[in-house]
Amino acid sequence: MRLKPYAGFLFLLFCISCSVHKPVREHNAPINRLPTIEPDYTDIVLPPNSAPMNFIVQEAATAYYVEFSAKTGKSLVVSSSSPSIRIPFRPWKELLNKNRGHTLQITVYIRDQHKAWHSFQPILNEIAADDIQPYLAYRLIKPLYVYWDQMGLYQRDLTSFRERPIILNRTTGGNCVNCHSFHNYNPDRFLFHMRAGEVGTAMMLAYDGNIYKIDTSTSFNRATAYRAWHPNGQIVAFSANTVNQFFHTVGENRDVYDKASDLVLYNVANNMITSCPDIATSERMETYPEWSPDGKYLYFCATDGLQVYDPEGEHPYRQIKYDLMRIPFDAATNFWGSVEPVLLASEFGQSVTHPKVSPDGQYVLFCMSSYGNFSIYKQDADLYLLDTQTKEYDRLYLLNSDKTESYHSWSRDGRWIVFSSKREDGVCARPYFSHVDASGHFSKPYVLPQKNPAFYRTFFKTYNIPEFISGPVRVRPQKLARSAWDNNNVIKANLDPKLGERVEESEDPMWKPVQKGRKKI
Amino acid sequence: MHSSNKTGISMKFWAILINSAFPLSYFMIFYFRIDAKLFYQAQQPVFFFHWPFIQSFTTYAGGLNELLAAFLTQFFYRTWSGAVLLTILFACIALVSYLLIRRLKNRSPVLFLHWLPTLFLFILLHDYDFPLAVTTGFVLALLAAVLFIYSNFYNIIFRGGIFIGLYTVLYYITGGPALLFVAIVLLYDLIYQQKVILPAIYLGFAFFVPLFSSAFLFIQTRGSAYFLNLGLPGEGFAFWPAFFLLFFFPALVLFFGLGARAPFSTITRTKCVQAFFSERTTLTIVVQICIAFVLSGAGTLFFAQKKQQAMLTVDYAAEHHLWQHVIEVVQNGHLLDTYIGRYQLNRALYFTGQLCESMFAFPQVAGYPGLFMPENIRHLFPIQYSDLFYDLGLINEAQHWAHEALSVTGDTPRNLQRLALVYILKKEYAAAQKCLALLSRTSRYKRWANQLADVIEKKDFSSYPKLKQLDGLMLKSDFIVIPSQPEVCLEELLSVNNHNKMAYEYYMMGLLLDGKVGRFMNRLEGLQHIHYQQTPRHFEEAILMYMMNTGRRDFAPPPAGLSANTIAAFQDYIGILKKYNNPTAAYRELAAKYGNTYWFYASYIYQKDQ
Repeated sequence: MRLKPYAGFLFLLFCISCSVHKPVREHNAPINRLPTIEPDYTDIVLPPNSAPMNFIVQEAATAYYVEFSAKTGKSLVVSSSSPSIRIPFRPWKELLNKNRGHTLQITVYIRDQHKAWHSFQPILNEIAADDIQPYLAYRLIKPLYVYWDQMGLYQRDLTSFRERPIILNRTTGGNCVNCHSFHNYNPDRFLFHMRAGEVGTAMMLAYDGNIYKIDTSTSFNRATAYRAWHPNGQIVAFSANTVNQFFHTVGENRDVYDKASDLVLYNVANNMITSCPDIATSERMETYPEWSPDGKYLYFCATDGLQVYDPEGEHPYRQIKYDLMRIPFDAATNFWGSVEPVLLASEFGQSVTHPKVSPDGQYVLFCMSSYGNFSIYKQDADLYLLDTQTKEYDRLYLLNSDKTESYHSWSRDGRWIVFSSKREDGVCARPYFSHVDASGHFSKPYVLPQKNPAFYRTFFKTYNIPEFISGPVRVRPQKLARSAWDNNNVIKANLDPKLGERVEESEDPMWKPVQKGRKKI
Repeated sequence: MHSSNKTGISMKFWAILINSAFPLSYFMIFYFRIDAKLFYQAQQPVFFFHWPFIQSFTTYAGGLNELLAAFLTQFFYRTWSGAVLLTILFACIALVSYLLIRRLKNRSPVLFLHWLPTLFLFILLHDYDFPLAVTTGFVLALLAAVLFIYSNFYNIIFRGGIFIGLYTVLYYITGGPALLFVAIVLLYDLIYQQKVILPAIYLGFAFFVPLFSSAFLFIQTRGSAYFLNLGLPGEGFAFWPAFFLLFFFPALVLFFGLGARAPFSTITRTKCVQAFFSERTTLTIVVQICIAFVLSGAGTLFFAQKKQQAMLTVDYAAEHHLWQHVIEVVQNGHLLDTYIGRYQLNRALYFTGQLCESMFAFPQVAGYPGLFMPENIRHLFPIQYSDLFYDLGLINEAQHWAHEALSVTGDTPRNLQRLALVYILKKEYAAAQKCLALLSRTSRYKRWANQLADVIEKKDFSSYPKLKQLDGLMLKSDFIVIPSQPEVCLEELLSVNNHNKMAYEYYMMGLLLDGKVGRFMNRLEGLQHIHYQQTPRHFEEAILMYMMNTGRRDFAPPPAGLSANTIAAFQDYIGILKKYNNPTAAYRELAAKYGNTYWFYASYIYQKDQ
């Protein structure tokens, strides 16, 4: 029998027999609750330019049928015999784009063993009118204790699933790459630090197509760490920290405290490190600098120096609590005002970290935990919002979980935030997004969508320092790596002659690269 | 091959003999002597049936070969399957080499010549860290060379096209070994095909493709773009075998191609060379075979990594709780002079109930670090260090070092298993499930992962008595770990649960190793919680010594009292000391008679080290 002429027909028959039919509405037995889906994409506000939010229906069934519908445009249907729902890209984009500011209804149907269909209450998500910034930069690293091996800085297109490396440490001798920062969301102007290894400790600065390797350590300060670009793009505020890591025997076992820290400014134009006594005093530890959007204030966190604690007494790590401060600054005249307290958290037993001022200057989003300045290791670290006018602050209940919420950043228009949260497993941080409306209300956060909705179940790396950027980083990783290895062209930062020498002898670093090679016993 | 030689013995006979003797010998040696499972122990290979894992190998030249090697290395989990795998790979190399040699010269001058590269590899494989990716890359490069040389396209465009296609694919799959392919085909076309332009193109490709790919395509260093898994001499493995392996085929092409021509013919046509290589008599064949065996024997003897083998055997035995075997191998494998050897020995002594009975029968010259590794080597053995804390019930430190292991050795099943158990004990089930989800994507640990997933679902440790036991030992209150003072952790563990036998024995023996007999005596009351039938011998020895040195009796007497044998031995010990009236003079007799006692350690070893 010749089957060839019928092959197409037979194939069609096969496809039809394998496909999941649309449930007939009259036969639906409704289930009076929302379906459980993973990741939790229910009751959220999503950006109209978002990548498809694929998910897994965590309901036992023999078949799944999911309908995405909104006010205008054709509904989008995904049927599957597996609970993994992968949404087709183009129809999703069309549906979202046509329905900005409207509701996206997701109806999940499941078929039970008796071939009866059931529908859940529809999931109602809001499609924001505002696009989210198209790219996110972050570091991917395994949960870090003392030794690290592979890590890299990556960029993810938020409108699709494309992730590309900015730099991988496998090309820079396995060193540590960290603390990336972009000037005003500009992917052509950014910096990151490198520590240890053959390429040495330095800052890599990509500036309008050029790459510079800069040694920011001077006789005044150690190599710089936490950073914030001044809006003028000429000045970067840094903290220089002496970090100490230690371990607990119960609960989260990693912890960190600073032995010393100060703030300095690096001027990109004249390659000079400078500071002012109020932000670099040995009586106080200053860290986490952040500029106000107009560049007139430098916000930072500060606490007393360790000398105030009894050196013979119990370790004071639980007593180290940081306040939120700010200091006026005029970039044109290099004039510093006096330090002003913004939130004296230590007075009510809390510690502030990572202050981030909203682009309109109205709010400061920050982390608060019971002590210390390394909120990513603190399970009680949560996000708070402070109104810069009234100085009132609130815990953002909708954003926080019983696990760590830490590093965060605002989108350029101030309508979206991204923050790190360990709510999934308590070990690996994931980037969560939340929409901010005109009155400063945050929506329920959602995790970065992935092509494979089960991605996070097995992904044993942590997303570190998520930062929005307005487009892709164009500098090739290979070019960055070549510049990193170029030890002949390291630019040594000059120290402002007004500052004196004061750096003590070098210390054993708390984080170390894995030593490759033979075991010497 | 020629069917007979001058003696009339069938050449087929020799060929069969050699081609079966080599693989059989390899299998036997990999099985009995090298113990192929130790490759697994050394390299802890990771392979997940998981797309993101597989995808990560596609992002650089040479990744697919590493993926293949990662998959094949799973066969090293058992000695026999590892030995079979290596034998098959060696047979593949011999077969491809045979085809290559046959193309170069109608008749191979040495019967076992095609097995010679495997001899170099065999010697290299005496190092358990030697990556399988070098071997697989070598096989693939040779295979590509054979395909190219056997292709009957001599038109410059076709031939060039075939080269470009083969090279590009091979380079993407293997990385560095593509250079070997280029070297072989370049020399072949230059010498045998008398072509000049094509070899120049090959050379250009070999130079520019890795350069281009490392600059624009793949994110890898130039060094890795050119040489990844090529097995370059000087990369930390045996130099000469690596050198010979790499240059064997290029040298062979040169030798066969130029051997018959002047000026080389003056050498190759000498009687001696002719007799050895061209005339196949029984004598020359036997001599050739003898040379092969001498070469392999010498290589085995010279390059054998006995200490590494012993260390890995101990690690394997400790991981599988074969404690008596640990003790034997540490002793016989001469690991008593290594920290890791002493560390594992003391663990084995504890688990066989001998720590407080026979610890000083072994030279405890390291003192306290023999119980807890010294700080400067802990990062080299992170999962082994985690083992100790896990057994003690100090779960946070077990977690800490398992995470260090994850950085140092990667997502190995061993590391993931430990983390899963640790997170289950800490009731951090989501984190445990992540480890189990990864393990369920391995062939070997899938079942284990599913069983543990059941434990999490039911929150019932009854099917895992170890978890239940550890749950009772875990600390309830927090304190800061001081890496240089692990005894503080032991004190805290005992304050939570004074029945924690391991913590007690480690604590007490640590005090003895450190010469802190006073503190040891103060903690004697802990004996009543452990329920020994007899007072441990080393405890008795320390008590007697303390009583004699201080004259004090104000300590909690051991519930089981002191044995008459120990008291008599102590009196004898003192008698010998008195007899010589000089500890140095008494050393020899005391070492022979009481070298296994705490008295001897305290008098000679501890004091000497202090």
